[in-house]
Amino acid sequence: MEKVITRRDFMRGSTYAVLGMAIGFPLKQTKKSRIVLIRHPDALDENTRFNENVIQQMLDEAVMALFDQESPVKTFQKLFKPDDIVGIKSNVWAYLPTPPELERAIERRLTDAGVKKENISIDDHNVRRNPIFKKSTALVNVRPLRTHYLAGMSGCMKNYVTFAQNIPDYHPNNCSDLALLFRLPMVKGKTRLNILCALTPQFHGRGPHHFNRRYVWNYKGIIVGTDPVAVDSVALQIIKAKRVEQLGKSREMPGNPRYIEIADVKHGLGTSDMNKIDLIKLGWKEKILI
Amino acid sequence: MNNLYQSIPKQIMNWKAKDKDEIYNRETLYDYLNGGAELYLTYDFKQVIVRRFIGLDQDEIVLDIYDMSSSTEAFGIFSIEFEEEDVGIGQGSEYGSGLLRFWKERFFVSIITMGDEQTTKPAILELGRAVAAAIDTTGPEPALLKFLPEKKLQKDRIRYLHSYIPLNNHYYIASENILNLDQKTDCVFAEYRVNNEDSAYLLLIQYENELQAKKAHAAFLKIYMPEALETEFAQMENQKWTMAKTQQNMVKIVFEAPDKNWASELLSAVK
Repeated sequence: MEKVITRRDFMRGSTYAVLGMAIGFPLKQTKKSRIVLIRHPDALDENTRFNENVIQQMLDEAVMALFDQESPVKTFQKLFKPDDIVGIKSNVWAYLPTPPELERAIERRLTDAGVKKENISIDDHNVRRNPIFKKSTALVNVRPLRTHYLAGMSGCMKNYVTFAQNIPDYHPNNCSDLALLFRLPMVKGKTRLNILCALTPQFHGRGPHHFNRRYVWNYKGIIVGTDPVAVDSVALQIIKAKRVEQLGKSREMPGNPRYIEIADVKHGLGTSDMNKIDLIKLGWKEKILI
Repeated sequence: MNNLYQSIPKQIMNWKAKDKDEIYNRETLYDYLNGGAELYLTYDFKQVIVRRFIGLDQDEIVLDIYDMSSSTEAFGIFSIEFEEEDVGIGQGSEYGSGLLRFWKERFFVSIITMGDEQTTKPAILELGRAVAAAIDTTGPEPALLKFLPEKKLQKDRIRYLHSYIPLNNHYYIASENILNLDQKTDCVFAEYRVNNEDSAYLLLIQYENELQAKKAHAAFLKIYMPEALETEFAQMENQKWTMAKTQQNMVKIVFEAPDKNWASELLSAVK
């Protein structure tokens, strides 16, 4: 049995060190992962309809800030070549899918950058059979932010679970080894952008479907980065803060989202330590929670 | 179950059932519940029948009837998330923001909508009452609940479970299954009011035999509070106390007790 992490380790704030020791890796200092959190008060209208123009603007500003560029199209041109075959891995969960407005914003910039429309596909459950995904040279990872009964949180890392041949293989120990999804042949080395839609995130779940609209709020944000672990780490801070605000300190953690820290310390996929994340906050700051 | 289902109405107010119902079993539940299937599989879940009702505005009400094999299991899956006010349907129920959950006999029922709550709530409650009426018997709650001391017990905060995953979701203990919980272990996790601000928690686990209980108890002490191998109690980093004892084939643990005596008295009161 690997070193067991107990509640007491969390109370001591020593989980990062315990995990590192458990796996036998020294804790290393790595370059900071840059993540952009952008929010806009008009991303949704008064009826919670998505404003596509504002969402496009948010995506553009986020990628420019992420890569220190002055044009969204040039930024996409640096990330994608005209001959790239691009799978946009989205999420179709009925209760909280990726907004089509955000999917279109990504697709629009890909075509602006020169990628042929016929070489772009947006998919979720069918990615393993989708011909574009099967021959893809690049991926964009986009999904909404929500809590998840088993993993604690569904962020960018969890979004790749439909690439798995057998999804339950990734469920043991609260989905602790989701990072392994990024080593699958269809995925490995292809992800150019991770975009976590926090326009209407869900901070708590109820019932068999783990959904209740009471726990969805209009945060009006998007989190963008190249490091999926860092994207999920930032998102977890927001979810935790919202849970403290709405449910109280004792219910701060959404289940047991240990996969994030394990992705960092055990699998080396990215950065989970907030001290090693360069978080750039753009736009609307009201009730930002982080 | 088919007889039950045939007696559920095909129309509730302005909502009409789709032609075809869906059925999922232990092998296919993953296809229906995104992320939630594991929880059901930790109980003795058999199958769920799903009926979708479509309203005049195309808004949908989804009825799920879960056959949990026994009333104790139906109680368990209901109890694990109970946090709203009982709306008097079945043997235990709650409604909030478009979601009705209740249990009766061996069935756990969920009715959910994404439609407008003002218009759908009456239909959801009426459908719930119709389903409850179609289940013509009741069943007992888990016998383990009878061991819980009643003084200061928060009766709406009693969880019945078999796995460390839902236990960790309520009260994180450890990353691994250090208490060796599985479908053959019955657990009850209950909240006790200490004062206006603080709660303590009592975990009772019934194993198949005394030896298993002793092994689990020893493992818990060794991993969770090695300083308490002899005393069976320890003060945690937040200054609260944890105490763990065995009682025949049962392990009983108090978490977050304000002091040692408080923990000891609660454990002694376990019947």
